[in-house]
Amino acid sequence: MATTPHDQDFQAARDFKRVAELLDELLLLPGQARATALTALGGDDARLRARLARALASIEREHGGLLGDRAADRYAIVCAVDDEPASSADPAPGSRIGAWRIDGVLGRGGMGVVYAAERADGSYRQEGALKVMRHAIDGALNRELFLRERQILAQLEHPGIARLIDGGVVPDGRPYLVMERIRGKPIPDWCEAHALSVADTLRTFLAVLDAVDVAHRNLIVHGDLKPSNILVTDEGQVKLLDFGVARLLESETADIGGAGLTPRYAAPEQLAGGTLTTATDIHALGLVLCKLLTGRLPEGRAAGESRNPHEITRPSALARMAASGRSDATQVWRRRARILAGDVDAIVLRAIAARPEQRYPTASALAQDIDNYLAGRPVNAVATSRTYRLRRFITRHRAGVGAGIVLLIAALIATAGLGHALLQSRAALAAAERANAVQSFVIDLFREADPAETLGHELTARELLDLGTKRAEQELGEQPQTQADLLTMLAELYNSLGEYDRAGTTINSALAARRAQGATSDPLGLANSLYIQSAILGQQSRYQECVDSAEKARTIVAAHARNDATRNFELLNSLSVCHYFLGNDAEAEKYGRQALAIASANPGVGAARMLDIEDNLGMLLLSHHDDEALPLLQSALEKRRQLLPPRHPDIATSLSNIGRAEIAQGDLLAAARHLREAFEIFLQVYNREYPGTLIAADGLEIALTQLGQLDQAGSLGSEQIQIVRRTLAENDSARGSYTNTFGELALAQGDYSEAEASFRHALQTWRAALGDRHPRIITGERNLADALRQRKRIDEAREHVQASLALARDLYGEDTPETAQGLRIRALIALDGDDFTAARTDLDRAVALSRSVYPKRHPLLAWALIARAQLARRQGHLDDAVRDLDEALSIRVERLGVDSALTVATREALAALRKPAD
Amino acid sequence: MRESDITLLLTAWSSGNHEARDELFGVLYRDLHRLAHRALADQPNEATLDTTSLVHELYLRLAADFQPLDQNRARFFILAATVMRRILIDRARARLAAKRGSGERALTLAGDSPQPATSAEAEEVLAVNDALDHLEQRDPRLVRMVELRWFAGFSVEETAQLLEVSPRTVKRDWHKARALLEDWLIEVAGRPG
Repeated sequence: MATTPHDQDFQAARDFKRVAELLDELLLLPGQARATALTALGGDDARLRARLARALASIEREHGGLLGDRAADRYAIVCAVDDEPASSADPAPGSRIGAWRIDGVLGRGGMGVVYAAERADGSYRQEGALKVMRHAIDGALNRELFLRERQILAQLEHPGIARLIDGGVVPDGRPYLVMERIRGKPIPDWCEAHALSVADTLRTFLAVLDAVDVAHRNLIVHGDLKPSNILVTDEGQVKLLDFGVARLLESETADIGGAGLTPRYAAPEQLAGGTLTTATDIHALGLVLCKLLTGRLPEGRAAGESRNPHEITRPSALARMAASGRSDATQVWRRRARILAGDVDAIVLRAIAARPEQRYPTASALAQDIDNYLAGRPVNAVATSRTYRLRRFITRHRAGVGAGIVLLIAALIATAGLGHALLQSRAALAAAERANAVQSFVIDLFREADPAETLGHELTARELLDLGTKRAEQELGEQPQTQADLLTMLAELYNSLGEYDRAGTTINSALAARRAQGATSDPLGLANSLYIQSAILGQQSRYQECVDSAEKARTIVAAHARNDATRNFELLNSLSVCHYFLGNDAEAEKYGRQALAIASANPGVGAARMLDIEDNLGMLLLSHHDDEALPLLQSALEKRRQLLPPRHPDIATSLSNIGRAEIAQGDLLAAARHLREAFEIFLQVYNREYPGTLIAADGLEIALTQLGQLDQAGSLGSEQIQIVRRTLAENDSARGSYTNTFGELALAQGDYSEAEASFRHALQTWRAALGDRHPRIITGERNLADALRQRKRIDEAREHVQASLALARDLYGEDTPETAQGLRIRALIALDGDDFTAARTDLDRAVALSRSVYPKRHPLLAWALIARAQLARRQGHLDDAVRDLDEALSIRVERLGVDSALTVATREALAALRKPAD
Repeated sequence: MRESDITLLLTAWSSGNHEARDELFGVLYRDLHRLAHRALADQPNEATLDTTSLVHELYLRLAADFQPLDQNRARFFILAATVMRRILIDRARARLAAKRGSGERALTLAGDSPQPATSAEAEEVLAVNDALDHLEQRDPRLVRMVELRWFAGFSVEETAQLLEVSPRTVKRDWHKARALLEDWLIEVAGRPG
C-alpha cells in the first residue's frame, strides 16, 4: 500500500478504534479459541490481525504468568504468518524434498519453516519434522561442513533429544533437516498443566540437564535452548529439539550468533558475537529454569542487553513480583518466593552469571547442585557465602537485639550440629545430610531476618521461629525426617523462649511427622522428639504426661543408645523434675541423683547441664528443708559465673533458686536481694511475662511480704497477678502458686476477703493441676483457714486447718515444718474460740517444732512465739508473753531488719506489755 | 471560589447539570495546578509529581469545609483524575515547547503514574492522551479507569471503589487498556515496539 506517512498515521489511528472493538470481541472468547478466531478475523487485513495478536499476547502475559511465553509464541505464529506471506519458493503440500513428502506446515520460526513430513521413498514408514532453513548455503566448502556436522548430530542418541533423521539441501541451495517428530508440550506449559511444585519442576528439569550433558560430552552445543525447544511428551519424556542446529547454521552462514537466535535466551557472549560453547547452553538453561520457576526472566533480560550481576533479579524476587501482579495467585507466588529464596536463587544466578567461567562448568555440575538442593544437602552455589552471611548476621544482632536472639542463634547452631555427635555410624550419613538440611534452613531463616529483606523491620526471636515453623510445615512435607528434626528443634526453642503453647503444638506436628514416616524408621529421632515433648509438658505443668513421654523416650534410648550419656542424662533430669512437681519426691530424688552420677562420670554431658541438675536437685532438697540444698545451689551459681557472662539467664535462674532457698532458710534479706537481681536479669533478657521473670517476681513478692515491706510487695504483687491472670491457663499449677502468693500478700495487708478469694482460687487450680494429695494442698488449706479465721468464720477455718494437718501427716508423718505452721494456725483459731487449753497444747508444740525443724532463728519461729505470747497475755502470764516476744523481736531484728514494719510492730507490742509491769 | 460553592456544584452536577461539571472542572484545575506547582517548587530535584497526594490533599482541603456525600466523593475523585490528566498534558506540552529535542530517555508504560520529566515521556503522555480521546466514545469507563490509575495514581482497589466495580474488573480493564495504549504508541505514535 503506497501511502504517505501522514496517511499511514491516519489509517493507523482509524484502525485503532477497530482494534479496540475487535479486541473486546476476542476477549469474550475462551483463551484457546482466540487464536483461531483471530485467524478468521479481519478479512485480509494482515496488519490489523498482527496488532490484535500483539495486544492479546500482552493481555494474556499479564493474566497468565507461566502462560506468558506460550501466549506470545502462539500469537507470534499468527503474526509471523501474516507478516511473511507464504513464499513462492515454499514447497506445496504433497511435494517432495529428498526422500520426504511434505504434509503441511507445523510452524514458522526465526530460522525457517517447519513442515510435517513423511518418508516417501518406500523403504519404511516414518514421520518427521522437516525444517527448511531460511538462508541458502553458498559455496562447496560450507556445504561440506554442513553435511559433516549433520552426520555428527545424527549419531547423537538420547531419549531426551529429538533425533536428527535426515538432512540435505533443496535445489535453491537452502539446507533442510529432518528431525524426529515430537508430539508434546513446551516445558513451561507442561509444568503448568501439571501444576508442578518447585521440587517437581526441578526434577523435570534434571531430565533436560541429563540430555544436554550427553550432548555436551559429545562436543555438541545446542546454541538456542529456549522453552519452545524443550518439549515434554504426554508420557512425561523430555525432548530437546533442534540440537546443534544453531551450530550448523553457524558453520553454514558464518553468521555467528546470528540468524534465528532467540535474544531473550541468548548469553551475553553470544550477543557480543562470541563463539558458542557449552557455557552458552548453561546460561540458557539457567534462564529457562528461572522461567519455569517464576514465569519470568530476570530483569533486563527481555531486551537481551548485557548487565552486571547486581542488577539481576533473583528468582525469588521475580516470584514476589508475580505475587503482586495477580490477586488470585498471590499466596501461591509468595510461598514460591520463599521456597526459591536462598539455594534456588543461588543456583539460577550461578547458571546465568555474566562471565562464562563463573557459571557451572557443565550441565552435570548444575544437575548435581539441583540434586543437592532436592536432597537437602548444602548447595555449592552458596557454600562460599554461607559462613559470611551467618557471621554478618550475628555481628549485626549482637549489639541491637540483645542476649535473647544471640542465645537463640547459638542454640540454633548447636542444635543443628547436634545430629553429627549423637548418631550411630549406620545412620550417620543420612543424619549428617539432615543436619545439613536443618542448618541451611536455619541460615535461610537468618536471611529472612535480615532487615534489608524485611524492609527494616528486625524480626524478633519469636517471629523468626514462627517463620521457621510455617516454612518447615509447608515446605518440607516431602522430607518428613528433616521436617520432624526441624520442628523438634523449633519446639525446643519455643520452649526456651517460654512460648509453651507454641512449643506444644510444634512438637505435636513433629511427632505427627515422625508417625507419618513410621515410628521405627528413626527411633532416636523419635526419642529426641519425645524428650522435648516431655520437657514442654513439664513447663506446661502437665507432669503426668511429662513423665509418660520421658518414660517412652527412655525405653527407646535403652534399646538403641544405652550408652548415650547425654540422652540418658536429659531424660533422667526430665523425669526427676516431673516427679518433683508431681510430689513424688522419692522418685524425683532418685532420678536426679542418677542424672548427677551420669553427668559426673561423663564430661561430654557438659558442665552447664550438670549445673542444671545440681540446681534441680537443690530445689528438690529445698522442698524438704534439706540443709544440703543451699550449698548445692550456691555451687551451681559459682560455676555458672565462671562459664557465663554476668547477666546470662542461667545465672538469673541460679539467683532465683538461691533466693527461694534463702526464703526457706529464713534469710529473707539475702533472698530479696538475690531474687531482685534475678528478676532484673530476666526482665532485661526476656520480658515481664517470661516464665523465669514470673518465678523470680513471685519469689521477690514472697520475700518482701515476709519482710513486712508491704508497699513494695503490693505494687509488685498487683502487677504480677494481672499478668498471671492474663497469660496463664486456669489449670496451670504455676497460676495456683502465684495466686497463693498474692493471697499471702493480701493477708499481710489485712485484705482478708481478697486473701480468701485468692486462696480458694489457688486451691482450686492446684487441685485441678496436681490432684488432691499434693503438698501444695497442705499450704492452700492452711492459708485458707488463716483467712477465714481473720474473717471470724471459725468453724470453716477449723475444718480447713484440720484438712491441712491431716494431709501433712499422711504425706510426711508427724513433726514436719508443715505441721509446725498448721499447729500455729489451729492454735490461733482455738484462741479466737477462747479454748486456751487446746491453744496451749498446739502452740507449745508449734514452738518446739519450729526450733527443731527450721534453721536456727527462723522468722517462722518468731510467728509461733508471737502467737504463744498472745495466749500468755490472754491468760495473764505476762512474763511468759514478754519472754516470747523478746525472742521474737530479736529474731525479727536479725532476719527482717530493725526497720521492718513487722519488727516495729513487735517492738511496740513488747513495749505495751512492759508498760503496766513498770 | 468558596467551598460551599463546590458542594453546590457537586450537587448540581449530580442532578445532571453539565455546566456545573465544567465549572467544577475549572475550579479543580486551578487548585490542583497550584498544588502541583507548589509541590514541584518544594522539591526542585524531584522531577516527578505524586499525583495521588495532590488529589487527596485538595480533597482534604475542600472536605474540611463541605460535607461530601459518598457519591459526591467518588464523583469528585473521578473528575479530579480527569483534571489531573489535563494538567499533566499541559505540563507535557509546555515541556516539549521548552525542551524539544533534548534529554531523550526511554520510558515504558509499566509505571503506575506518568512523570513527564523528559521530552520522550512528555510525548508519551501526549500520545496516551490522544489514544484516550479516541477511546472516549467507545469505552468511557476504560478512559476513566486509565485517568484514575495512570494520571491520578490511584491503586487498583481505590479505582475499583470509585468506579464501583470489582478490583478484578479494574485489573482486567487495565491490562486491556495497556495493550491498546501500547498499540497506539507503536502503530500511531510511531514508537518502536
